[in-house]
Amino acid sequence: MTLWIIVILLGIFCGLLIGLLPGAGHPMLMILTFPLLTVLPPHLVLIFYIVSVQASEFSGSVSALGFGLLGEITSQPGLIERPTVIAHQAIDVAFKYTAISSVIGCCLVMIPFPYLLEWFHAQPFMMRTEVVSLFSVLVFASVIFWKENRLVENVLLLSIGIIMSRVGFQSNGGGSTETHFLTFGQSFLADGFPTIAVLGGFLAMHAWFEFQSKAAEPVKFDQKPTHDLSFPWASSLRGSLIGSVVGLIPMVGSIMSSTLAHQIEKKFFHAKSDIKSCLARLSAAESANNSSFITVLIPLMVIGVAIIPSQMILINYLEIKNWTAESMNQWRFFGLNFYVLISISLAIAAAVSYFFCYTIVAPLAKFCQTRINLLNSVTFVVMLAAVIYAGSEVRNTIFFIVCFVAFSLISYRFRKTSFLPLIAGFLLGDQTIDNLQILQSLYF
Amino acid sequence: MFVMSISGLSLAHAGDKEIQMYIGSKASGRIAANSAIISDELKKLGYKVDYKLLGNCAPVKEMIEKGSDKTLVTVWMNLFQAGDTCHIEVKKEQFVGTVWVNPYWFCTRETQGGWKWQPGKTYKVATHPADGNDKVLSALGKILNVNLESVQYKNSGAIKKAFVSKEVDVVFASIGPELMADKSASCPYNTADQEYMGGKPLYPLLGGKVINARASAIVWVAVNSKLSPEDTKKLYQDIQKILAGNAILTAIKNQGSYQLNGSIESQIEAVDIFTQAIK
Repeated sequence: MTLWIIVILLGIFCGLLIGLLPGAGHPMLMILTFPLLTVLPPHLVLIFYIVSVQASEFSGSVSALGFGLLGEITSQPGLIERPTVIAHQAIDVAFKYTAISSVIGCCLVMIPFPYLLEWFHAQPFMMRTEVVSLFSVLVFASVIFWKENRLVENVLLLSIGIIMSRVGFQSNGGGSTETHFLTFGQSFLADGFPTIAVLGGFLAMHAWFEFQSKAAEPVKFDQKPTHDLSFPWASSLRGSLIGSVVGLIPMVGSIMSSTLAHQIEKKFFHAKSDIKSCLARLSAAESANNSSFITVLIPLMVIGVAIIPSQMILINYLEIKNWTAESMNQWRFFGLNFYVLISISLAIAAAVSYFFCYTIVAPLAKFCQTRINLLNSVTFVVMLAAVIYAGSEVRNTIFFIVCFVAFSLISYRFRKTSFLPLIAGFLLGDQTIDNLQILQSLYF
Repeated sequence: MFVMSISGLSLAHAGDKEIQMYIGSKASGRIAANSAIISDELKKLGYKVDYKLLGNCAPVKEMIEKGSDKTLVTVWMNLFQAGDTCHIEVKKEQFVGTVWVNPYWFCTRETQGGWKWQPGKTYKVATHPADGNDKVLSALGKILNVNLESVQYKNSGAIKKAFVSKEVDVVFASIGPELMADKSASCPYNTADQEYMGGKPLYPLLGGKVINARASAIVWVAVNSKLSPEDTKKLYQDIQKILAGNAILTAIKNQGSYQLNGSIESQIEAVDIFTQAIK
């Protein structure tokens, strides 16, 4: 029980912090906390992940509203509404309303969440290779059309990622089942490219380089609005519903949920540019954000398929702990079904994050604002330490460091390119090809 | 059939109880789970164990062949031995004992009622990756008057998913006890030498002609040549005590496995047979 509480509080703290840091995001959080996650049992790894992601969505809008910097793509509506909020001196109200919206979005889905999971688990067809492959293919299709790059770049990066995922040696019984792919007879390549070095170089360092090139536009906190503004309950509820459905779409669902809710609110309910409409749109977006990051867990927890980058990293950690999605159905802790435990953990995370964002976010944001460069330097050091630690655990430290440095240099050279297609190909490619081979054996 | 053997050749200086326990597999699966038990038990006996899962058998093989400055204890299996890349010479002086033998089980949905073999029909059978499966299934299919085709899944978890989701109706894999425990399958045959857990041996059923019915794994240790014979003997005895202890026996029993209890020579012979069987 004590460890569970500690993990929840740690997850909240890490999530809130990563949400405040512009240019960070959930994937970087997963990479930076690798040493911690390797020692936790799988159920606590999951709780840490779920809680930290929720907490980061509470504080993520602070980065957009407070600094004018996009911490996560989900904070795009915050950037859009920022000028209006500042013009009406409503930054403090905006922070508070986004916190309340986050709670609403979280609660709306958190309550039926265990029942949803139980229902999905009772549908055995969900475990079929066709269903799992479909999700993977949808992810690949999404990254091919990733708008930050050209189509050709996305296809190339995805292909490179898939090829990288296949590098290594597999011994399954000799004969035709023993496969070598691009190992060149070297034992240090037997296990392929180290995941943490690939993610660290192409994802974490890439975000780090990107952030270094941007300038923050800090806003003065402690503003007082010019008139009373009531909380937009209807907008928040609408956003929550939109987010809960859209979150199920692989790769882009959770990312676009806030933007979609924002656009729907703008087109159909609050099209004006006054502060009341602005806060309504912001609330809808924030609620959608938080609710989508709960439903996005469903494919992961039912069939063990990761549909967003941070989950792909998470699954990597879980699989080495002998975790399977099906086994979670049987887990019991403190006499409770694990899914119920997740909901309780989410409730605690929502309450603590709300308290944090409602009360002390302004002074903490100021603290971060004046120490951004120091915090980013610390994240770099932690990143490097995580790579060295991971390498030492498998007696391959030099190879891990070489890969991390090489991939970091490549991502620096191509810092205007998004490497997300490569990451998706690397994390999902191996399993997807295996699944397609299974489908070929089954049906052809 | 997998036979896990631990071979330890300790070459530490007298009184030096530091050992490296490097395992050539990932952290998921039974090798990792059971080798962790052995590591923990060795620590309780006062050994300073540097336990690592290296993710792949190739680097461990390199250490076995090139040697290291400390005692190396590792867990090997016939799947490693069956190929060229991780094949190592099984030496008597390096062989401590088997950790477990795990038969493959031939299972169908017969317990669920209404499921019957349809003569002449082709059935997809979920199997572990191994060339030898096709030979067993081909011979068994002739007896059952059906066509059995192997669909290779990466691990036991994937095989179970395929069976539970009704992607396949037949399984030839190590997860028989699990399927029988939750009453989702009937497993009339397995690859054990004798009747085991209610399953009849496949080898005699197939006329004693299809060797691909047994498998074993061997664990090997690569060390330097500076250990005292007394310390080596002590380490072997300690490991053998651990293998015969409650922790390991409970773990392997829950996994539907058993141990070989014959002489070292007979166990090495079984390793060879099981390795040939899986090819």
